[in-house]
Amino acid sequence: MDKGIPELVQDFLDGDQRAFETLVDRFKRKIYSLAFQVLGNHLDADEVVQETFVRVYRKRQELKDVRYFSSFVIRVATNYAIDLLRKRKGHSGIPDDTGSLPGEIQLDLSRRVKTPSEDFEKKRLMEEIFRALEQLPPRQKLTAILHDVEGYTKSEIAQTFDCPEATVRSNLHIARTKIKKILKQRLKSKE
Amino acid sequence: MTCHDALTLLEDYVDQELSAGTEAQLKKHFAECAGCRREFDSALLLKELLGQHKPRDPGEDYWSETTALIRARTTESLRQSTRVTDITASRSLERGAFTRSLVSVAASLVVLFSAILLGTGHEQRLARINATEPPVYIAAALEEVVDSDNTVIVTRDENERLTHGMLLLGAPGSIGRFVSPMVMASSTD
Ligand SMILES: [Zn+2]
Repeated sequence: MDKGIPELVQDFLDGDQRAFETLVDRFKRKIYSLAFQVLGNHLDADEVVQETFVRVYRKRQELKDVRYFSSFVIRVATNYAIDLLRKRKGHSGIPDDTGSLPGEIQLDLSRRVKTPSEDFEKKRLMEEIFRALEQLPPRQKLTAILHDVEGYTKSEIAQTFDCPEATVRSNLHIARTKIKKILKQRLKSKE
Repeated sequence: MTCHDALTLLEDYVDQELSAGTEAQLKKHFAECAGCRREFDSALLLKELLGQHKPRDPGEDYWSETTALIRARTTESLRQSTRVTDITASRSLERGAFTRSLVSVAASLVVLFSAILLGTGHEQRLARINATEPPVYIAAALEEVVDSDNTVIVTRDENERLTHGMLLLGAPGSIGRFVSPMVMASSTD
């Protein structure tokens, strides 16, 4: 039977190189997916994957509790991804307002008709969402990606960012609201 | 439940974090309020779309290459930490070499002083030899050295000279000592 994460982490901390490699196997896809969402390209995602595990390896003594390994890895990855994001683009110019939801996009988003063009419509929406995500400040972007894309719970994200769950909740709400707003503006400008 | 209440709870509903009771109240409101219902639908769709926003897996070739790179870089850091021990070990080796060189210097000094002492002791012995019967220092059988077909390789004379030479200059690798050939010749006869 496969060893559980805490057991593997303990083995890794005890100096077992193979346990570390198994942990890399278990987490690499999550990190890649996360990094790709944040940075939007394979090369940067690849850099985040490698750098994350090398840093986790070197910083292993900082891990106080084996149960928090997942948060530890995600934190290392998100910190590196944010650094890289800032290096690539500079600070995001999106203002931090949480304006109300416009009506048009609601109609677009709530249209769930089963037509042959649905796939195309969906693909177009996905592209727009990705561009909208790109415009969010790093913390909000990461919160939305971790929660809505990668499926992490709010408490896991709070652990990762070392902040209260209320902050995660609020960041997520702001991110979602902004995505909808940006989507609305994009769709409107194309009309 | 007001529209404000419904919209406040909407995201928790999308995230399936509401109690059964609150969820039932919210559903009731959505059934009665088209505006809130649309809000809910768009929030749900956005979450669904984000959930599908996963990048394509880069494939097994990429992963085997990447894990190999990570392995190389982490065992590299492991090697770096061993390198520290290596340095420490080589440093102790250097210390060992220094000790060894000290020992060899001391040994050469011992040899030098022994040689001086032996030298003086030898003069005293030589004086004794001249005064009394010469003692036998070495006994060597001075015979011909022949090959399997009885051809002489080293004659008795040659062997004697060789032995004298060895006693005068020392056998290869030994420290030579001066002994009067006459004395040696008379003692070996
Ligand atoms: Zn309402």
